[in-house]
Amino acid sequence: MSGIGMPDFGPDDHSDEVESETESEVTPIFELENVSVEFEMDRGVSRVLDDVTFDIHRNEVLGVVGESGSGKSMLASALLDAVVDPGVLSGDITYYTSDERPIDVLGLSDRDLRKFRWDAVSMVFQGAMNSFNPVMTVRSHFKETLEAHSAADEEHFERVHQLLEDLYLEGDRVLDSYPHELSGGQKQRALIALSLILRPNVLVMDEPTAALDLLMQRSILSLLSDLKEKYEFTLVFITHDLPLVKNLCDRLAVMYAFDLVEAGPTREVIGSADHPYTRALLNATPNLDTPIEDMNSIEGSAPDPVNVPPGCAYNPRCPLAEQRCEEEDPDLVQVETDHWAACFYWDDVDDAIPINVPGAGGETDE
Amino acid sequence: MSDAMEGESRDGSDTGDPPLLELEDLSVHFEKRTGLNPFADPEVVQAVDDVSLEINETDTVVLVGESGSGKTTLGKAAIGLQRPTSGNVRYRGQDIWDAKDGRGRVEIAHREIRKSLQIVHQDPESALNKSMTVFNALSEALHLRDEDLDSAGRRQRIYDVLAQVGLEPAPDYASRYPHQLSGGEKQRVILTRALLMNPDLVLADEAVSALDVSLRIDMMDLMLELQEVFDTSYLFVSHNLSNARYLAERANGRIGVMYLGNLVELGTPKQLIENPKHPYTKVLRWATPSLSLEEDDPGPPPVRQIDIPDATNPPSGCRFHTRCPFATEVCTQTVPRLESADDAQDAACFRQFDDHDYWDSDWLDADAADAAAERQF
Repeated sequence: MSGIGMPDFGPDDHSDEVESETESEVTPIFELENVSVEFEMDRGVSRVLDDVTFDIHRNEVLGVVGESGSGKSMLASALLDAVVDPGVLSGDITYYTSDERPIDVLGLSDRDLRKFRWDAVSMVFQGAMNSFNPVMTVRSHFKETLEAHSAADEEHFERVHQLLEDLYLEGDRVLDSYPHELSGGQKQRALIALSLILRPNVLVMDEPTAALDLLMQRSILSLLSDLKEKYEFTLVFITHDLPLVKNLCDRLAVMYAFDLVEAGPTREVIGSADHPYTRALLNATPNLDTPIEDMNSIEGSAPDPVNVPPGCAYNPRCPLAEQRCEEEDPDLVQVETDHWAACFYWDDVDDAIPINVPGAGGETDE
Repeated sequence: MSDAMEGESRDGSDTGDPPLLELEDLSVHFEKRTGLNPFADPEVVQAVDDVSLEINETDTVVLVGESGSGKTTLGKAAIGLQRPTSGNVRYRGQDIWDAKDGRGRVEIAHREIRKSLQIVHQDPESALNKSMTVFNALSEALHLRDEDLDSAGRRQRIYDVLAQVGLEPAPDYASRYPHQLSGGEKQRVILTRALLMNPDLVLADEAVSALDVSLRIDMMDLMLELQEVFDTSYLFVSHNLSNARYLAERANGRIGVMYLGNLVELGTPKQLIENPKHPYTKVLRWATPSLSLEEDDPGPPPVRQIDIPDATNPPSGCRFHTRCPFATEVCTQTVPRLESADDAQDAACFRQFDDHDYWDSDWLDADAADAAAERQF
């Protein structure tokens, strides 16, 4: 196979940063270094992913959280080198195979990339349940996919039934249905089955449940947990809905204005967030526990990609912002073993912006 | 003013006037043609079935439910945009469809009713005409309401109201086209357009869910502020219990839970969230993720099957019995009424009555009932 990664990106690069905390060894499955996506527009260059450097761990569930227009979908597309024209993707993305062989994703040939996208990394896009062809039965979709990857054998068809059953779908009834005969939730579950049919190592899901009801959303999340246990894959779940993924994700990565502002274990990011934006987002998220008088929206609005404020992109909305924040763009700094925040004043956020969610910001409560 | 009918006010401030809006045994059924045979009997979808609800002056009711629960159809029927198959909708005692059809003695003209009951649409992207400035969009609404205003007066009124909803400088915003507005700003314009008609009630269909999380509180606050400024009642429709709780709690209103065309529980947000009576309300509670780190893993869904049944052929008896972990034989035969065994909220479930036959009837699925009871659902 062609497209072996450059030797610079061996798995040892960041190992000293992550090894110390967890008992089982954490190895990366994806390494992103200085990944950017730019679009040329009449109004100027639109940078919709701004110099992201980040690792995704093997077999973890990573939640990428951000509001619309924060660049989180672009991050997902970048992982599969699937940024649409005329977007220009730059930087380095390294994928590690099961035997830890590095693969330079952006250097793959078209043919290898196609194989990579289904066999290694599979993706469920936003609103993807509408991507079923309306004149084809669900069975034909499965068949077509398996044939395209020369896997249309007995074993795989058995797997189709197993997966559908895992997703609480009646195999033959669903397979013989046309897409319009299924509800949104059923279509979405059938699509998840389809995305797992070739046993990918990574499943990337971009707002897979956003169009569905709460009950179906949460049911699908609880199914995903089970599937992940059973089939062992790395799950990257992209969403704007922080509470929804709280129980699912091992780690959270928070995006604001096209860059990561905070990343760490879920309990730390929610319980003791160290970036002012993460804290403001927690306080702005409608939920059933926070007293209503303690919920506040975030002043101002997110920046236009053509016109991101200089320095820290969050500075115009940040109560902690100083002159320095208008001049310098803070890098992610390590605040705990595996907890990173891109803020000069992360040490002050506890006092300045208390988290109002009961049972979330435990440490700061009086 | 009509006083043909006695109305009772929920908060005890009984004025003798009929309620602002009264839905009585309201059903909306749609015919759905399936297959290619044009002579075949169409299937009937029971989108809303036998719902009664009163909404008072400056009242707030939030309808929550899954898609297909009939909440949007009920909302539309409430403001006279959807003709009911049976039952009545009365605006201040005047039957809306009698007024429309000129049946009986019409006390309030249909035109008047239409203006008094407004809607704010779900999707801010499609609710505004792309080639119309904010000024023109609002001017059109104002024209419908108040034909006497001259152009200077109209301009002033529009600038005032834009300032009121926080779109300042108003002349700048008035000259913008929809594409020059953010999602939140579009929502504000749409809300302003509805409120310019000076309505008594605004139906807001998922007006908040489409917004980014960080803007939702802001938008809900704005709507509630304007409720006071314009003295309106709201009927919100939402699938999100967190948003519903925020709106209803701040506005001192009620939440109505819809399931498969029925209103299954109706009460204050405190009652429904802290002490839900209907197993389906508990399911919605389960489905609403918490931010608290103290919350345990919520476990699998507390229902026997996760897909909602088809509304063309709804289950007999209690419509929730096919999914309810606590369903018994009784639930498959008898339709529970929306009522209350105590002073708390109304619910359509037999479980609130200690002496009901339900308790002597056999579980449909004893394992599910045990499991759910163990999890305290």
